[in-house]
Amino acid sequence: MMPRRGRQFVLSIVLFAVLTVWSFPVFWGLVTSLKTDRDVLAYPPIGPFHPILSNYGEVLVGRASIVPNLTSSLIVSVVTTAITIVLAVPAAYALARLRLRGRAPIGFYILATQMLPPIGLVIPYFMIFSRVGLLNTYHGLILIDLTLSLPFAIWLLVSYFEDIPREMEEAALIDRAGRFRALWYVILPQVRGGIAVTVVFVFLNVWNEFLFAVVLGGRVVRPVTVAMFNFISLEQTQWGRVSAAAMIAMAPVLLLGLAAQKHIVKGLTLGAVKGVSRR
Amino acid sequence: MSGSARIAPMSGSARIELRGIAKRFGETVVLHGIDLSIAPGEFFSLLGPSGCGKTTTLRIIAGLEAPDAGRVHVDGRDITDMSPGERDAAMVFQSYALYPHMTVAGNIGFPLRMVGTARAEIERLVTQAARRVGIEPLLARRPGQLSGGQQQRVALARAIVRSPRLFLLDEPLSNLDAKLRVQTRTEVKQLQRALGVTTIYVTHDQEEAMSLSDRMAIFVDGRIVQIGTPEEVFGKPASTTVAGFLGSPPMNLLPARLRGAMLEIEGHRLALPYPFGGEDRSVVAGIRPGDITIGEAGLPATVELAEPQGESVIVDLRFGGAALKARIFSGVRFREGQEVQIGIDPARVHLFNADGQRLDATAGASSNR
Repeated sequence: MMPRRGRQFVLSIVLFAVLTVWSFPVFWGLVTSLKTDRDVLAYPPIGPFHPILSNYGEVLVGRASIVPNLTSSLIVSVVTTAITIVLAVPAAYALARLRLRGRAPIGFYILATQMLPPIGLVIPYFMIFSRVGLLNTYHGLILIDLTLSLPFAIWLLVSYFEDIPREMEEAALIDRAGRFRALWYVILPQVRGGIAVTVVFVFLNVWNEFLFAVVLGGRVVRPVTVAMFNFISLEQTQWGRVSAAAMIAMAPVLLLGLAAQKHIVKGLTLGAVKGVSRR
Repeated sequence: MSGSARIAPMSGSARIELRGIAKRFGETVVLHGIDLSIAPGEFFSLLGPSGCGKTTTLRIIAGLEAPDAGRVHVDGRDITDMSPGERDAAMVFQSYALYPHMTVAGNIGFPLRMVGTARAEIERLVTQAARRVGIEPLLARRPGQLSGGQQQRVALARAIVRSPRLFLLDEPLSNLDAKLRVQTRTEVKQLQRALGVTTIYVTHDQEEAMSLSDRMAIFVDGRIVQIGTPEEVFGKPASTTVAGFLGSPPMNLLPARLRGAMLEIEGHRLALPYPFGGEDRSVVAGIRPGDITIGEAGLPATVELAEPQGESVIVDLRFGGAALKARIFSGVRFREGQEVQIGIDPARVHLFNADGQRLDATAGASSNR
């Protein structure tokens, strides 16, 4: 067996390699966002360059400002995430705890909706939406995003609810809490980590969603993922501005991730340590 | 637990009656029609091996499981369809089921908070309950910062804080180490005596059941095989099943023949001090290990193994074709293969018929046993 220090050294190398691969596109995007178009297109690529901030100025306050699109993304993401959590928490609790008839088929149905390729849905959705007048509306896009995020959130949360010992809840029932207050006072505080993880993942998925937004959105509802394409045309790709827009678009998710970090780490490791027996 | 804090005995404790309680989980029948009557203020144990249905019975009384058949009555009132919270029962779980995100005070006060007790009153009652079980200095801590014994006391305090009419305890001591278990056992009994609340206690530990209970029910395979005081159940086991379960080591059960008042075991005859009716028949003779003596005279046996237990020694004996266990307190050393003479007091021999049911001597004799 490898000595402890040697193993740590190998692990550090692997970790560094993974981090490099993972962070390279972000780093490259950041560098590109600080370059002039000339520097971006220079061949061979130049080493040192004079960083500029004009790309950021252009995408924030210029003619093609993405601020309205950021607002659009924010509305869709926040509302979708909020509705998802409000609906997914009781649904996941019921699936994890109640002895429901047909629990297994319901669970499988929820999972099955995740198996459909979104590209196969987009044309039918477009046709339905165009007939009922939901194209280019917030509630239309939120509705579609919900169909994607809810199954995911329910399945993620079920595992967290299942990790709470049943006896904890039974104790609350005997302590005269009733089912709803047992959930509110005893169970939910213990699945906070799981809810935080779910919020971050759902927000991230909705924020980054492109396919449905580009097909079902329009002039009014145009999230930032779609707006970034304004900088790409047949004649020219404004790499500096695309990169600046991408950097700005990353910020909200990054901030959310940092804010929820403590809970996420707890939430991700929760399943790993099962101290109490489960019935 | 501090005895200094005096809480007045609780107002009324419940009389519990189970009538024909049956329960199955899928294809498995867990309870085959349980009938039980528990008097107000009684400390009643449900004792049996794992999977015998004792915990399911407790959960049905608590309202955490619904019976498939039968009714649960408290003071003559049918509570079978009531929710757990409506039953005025408090329960201590094997795992304690403390709420990890709340402090000890929050845990103990939770049942009071759920019924809208005023904040100041909650504080007073929580402090009182905590003092009663000796955990007052720990009120600000969280369960994760407590030892197993302390957690157990928090669970007890949470149970007594709202003065319920019924305590349900599901193997509450099984997660404690041996020394703490004995100490807490005494304290649980003192607490129950002081509060006078009807208590149903589930355990697989016969010593625990014996030392705590006013009466107990022995469960085997989803049926109650005997109900009685610890003395009755130990002294007059109703069947070979009960006899073989109780006692450590349990009763020796040997095939024998009974002819009136003469018992024949392994070719040796014992004159019983009281007559049994009926004809010459096959029976099972039960002899407690503690009722066997080893001395100068008696029946011949061979020592197969001796296991010193501290105050006593368990001796495995070969007696004719049968194996016997004897508990000897004399401090004598035994060696394997040693030929010894054993004494069996005929008055202390238990008899069971071929079906394993207890045989009682004719009138007047049973009081001797």
